[in-house]
Amino acid sequence: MTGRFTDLYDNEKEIFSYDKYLSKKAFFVVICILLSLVALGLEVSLGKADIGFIESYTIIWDHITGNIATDPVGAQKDLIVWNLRLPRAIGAFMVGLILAVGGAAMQSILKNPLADPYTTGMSSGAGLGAILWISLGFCLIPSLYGYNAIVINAFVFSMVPTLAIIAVSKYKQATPTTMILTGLGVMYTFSAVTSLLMLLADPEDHKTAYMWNIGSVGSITWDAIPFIFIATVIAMVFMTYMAKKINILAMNDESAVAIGVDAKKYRIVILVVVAITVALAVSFTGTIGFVGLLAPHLVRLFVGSDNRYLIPASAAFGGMLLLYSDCIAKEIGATGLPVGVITAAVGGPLFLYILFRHKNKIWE
Amino acid sequence: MSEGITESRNDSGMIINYRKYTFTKILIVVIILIALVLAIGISVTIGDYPIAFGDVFKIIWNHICGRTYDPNTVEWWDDYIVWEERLPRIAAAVLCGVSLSVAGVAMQALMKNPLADPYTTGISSGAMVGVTIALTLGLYAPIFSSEMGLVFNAFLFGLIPSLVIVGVTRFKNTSPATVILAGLAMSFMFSAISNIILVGSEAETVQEVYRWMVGSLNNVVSSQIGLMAFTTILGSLFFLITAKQLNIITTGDTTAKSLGLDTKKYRSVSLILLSFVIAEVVSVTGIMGFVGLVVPHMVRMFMGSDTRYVIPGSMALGALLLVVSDILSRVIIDSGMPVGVILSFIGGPMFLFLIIKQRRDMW
Repeated sequence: MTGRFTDLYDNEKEIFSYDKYLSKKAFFVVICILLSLVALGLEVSLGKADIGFIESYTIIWDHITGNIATDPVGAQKDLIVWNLRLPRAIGAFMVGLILAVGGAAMQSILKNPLADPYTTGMSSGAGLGAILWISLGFCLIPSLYGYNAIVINAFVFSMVPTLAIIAVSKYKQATPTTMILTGLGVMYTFSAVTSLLMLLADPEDHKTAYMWNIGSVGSITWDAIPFIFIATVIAMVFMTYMAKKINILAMNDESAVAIGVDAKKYRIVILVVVAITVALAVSFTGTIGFVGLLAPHLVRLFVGSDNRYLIPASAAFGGMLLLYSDCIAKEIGATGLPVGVITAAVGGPLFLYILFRHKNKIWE
Repeated sequence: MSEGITESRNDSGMIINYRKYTFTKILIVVIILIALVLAIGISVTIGDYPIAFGDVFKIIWNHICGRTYDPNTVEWWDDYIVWEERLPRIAAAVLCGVSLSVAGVAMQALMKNPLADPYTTGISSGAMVGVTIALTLGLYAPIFSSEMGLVFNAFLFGLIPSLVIVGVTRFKNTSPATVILAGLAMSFMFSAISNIILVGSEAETVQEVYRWMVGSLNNVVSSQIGLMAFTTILGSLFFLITAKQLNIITTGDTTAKSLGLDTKKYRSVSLILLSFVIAEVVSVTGIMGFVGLVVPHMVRMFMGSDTRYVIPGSMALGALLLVVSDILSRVIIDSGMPVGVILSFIGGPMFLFLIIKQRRDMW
């Protein structure tokens, strides 16, 4: 009698703690989203033209409801907010989201804490595409020039390593190691060409390419938003849908097959989706580092490694991280300090602190 | 009875197989070494002053035997050019190849991660900060000339991230994941510092830093070889002797502990030693990518994952690759194209080819 009672009691306690566990994760996501909304106002209010923090929300609201101010000052402010600052803010959030989701998925399917969205060699492809235009004026679509040429080049070249991995996996077993190593092979080949061009380029072009490699969200306009938005939706929907499969892939492949999941097929499919979404994002911004790698790790410390929660939480956190970093970049970088630098400078120490304070072992 | 006989026959078959297996590995290393000696010979002959391939080894041998010549005779010039002009650079190439390959094997084993390389603990980013502040802000220790100051800066700053990580993990935990993640964070922080400085500086300076970053042997002088040789030999010997421990540590910390290996101590000691070895190489040659990461993988494709063989194999192959790349960089492009670029050019496709061809499962 007492035994059964204790059982019941234990059960209830377990259910209770599981609920608590879930609500903690949900809480994390909600906090990230709320903070991102705050960051939106911050980002929009920062800049040369003086627009207040609260004012920025009213201007956006007024524009959405069609209630645009008609006096010259108000119209100008609306123009600045709506055409210059808002796309940058929205773009920053979405790019951060895509990178973080891509990073979380890659770390799980490759079973490697060093993996990030660029592990397949994508960043070297994008870099090559950019330098090809910047120093040689070569674009895959001859009629394009300037920024658009870089975007197209970067997108196409960043897909090459992924195609190579798919090709190799036709002949060989697509184990995580084979994929990583194939990516490395392509990466070194591409970066050899890139370094050659970088060294032969004249210093100004070199610096342009260098800045592009660090990555910045400053060049995002409304024209880019639809593409980035599509990538965001694909990344979110697909990865959330696949979260259970990703969990299974993160175990060993034998267990995955035993459960009835074709590990190799799913790994390739997920890899391709990560590649497409990330390529869409970074061809507009340049290869922003750090977010895709460390956002998932930071989130893991709070939320754990279950991809059903890790992916949405990484999404919210990655978006928030990049948005705040861009605020700081805008505030202190009058010279156009790229956001990637800030993310690393702020996120690095934070991550180290949390890593050594935290007692949970996340990767063993 | 008949069963017993079959078994013993099987046994001897296995022993023969095992000998054959070891023999193949040793053969591979010997072949690479012969190729290395030939490559060094060819490398010495390249340059404006003509030296015949046949004479190279005679000149070197005579110098080692202590023969001296009257100044300004042909023999004296031959000796001078070979010994003072060309060999330092070749020696640097060999030492760089050897130490980066050994470090790569060791890191990949210590971290149990095929993506680990000599720079996993952030040495390259640290060194880059040192070089960046030297080239843009002119900050280096005043006791050195500007050239040595650059080397010293790179060495000093290269050590910082790596030693901080070793120090902190020593008291917390030295699990591979923690070291890797801490290394990543450190790398990113240090690259952020150099990026912040570089974004605001002249385009010419940025390119100069980049040139250093790609990895080059153009600035090697003979006075730097001694220290580099010392750290390289020390590091290689340590890992050659403790290759068995490296094998054990790849099986996982729990297994390693039950086999009597103090993983925490071994990992810390190895990481400290590696920091010095790599910081020294980086400070002289810049950040030579590829070798440390890919050469161990290439060797594993031929020889399997036993660290006892992978280490000597990687040492030989790393040295060979660097010497050959150096030859190419001097022959093909006379403008002094950094050897790091050539290295990736021949290494990348070669590696891809090997991945497709190889059948062994390496990890």
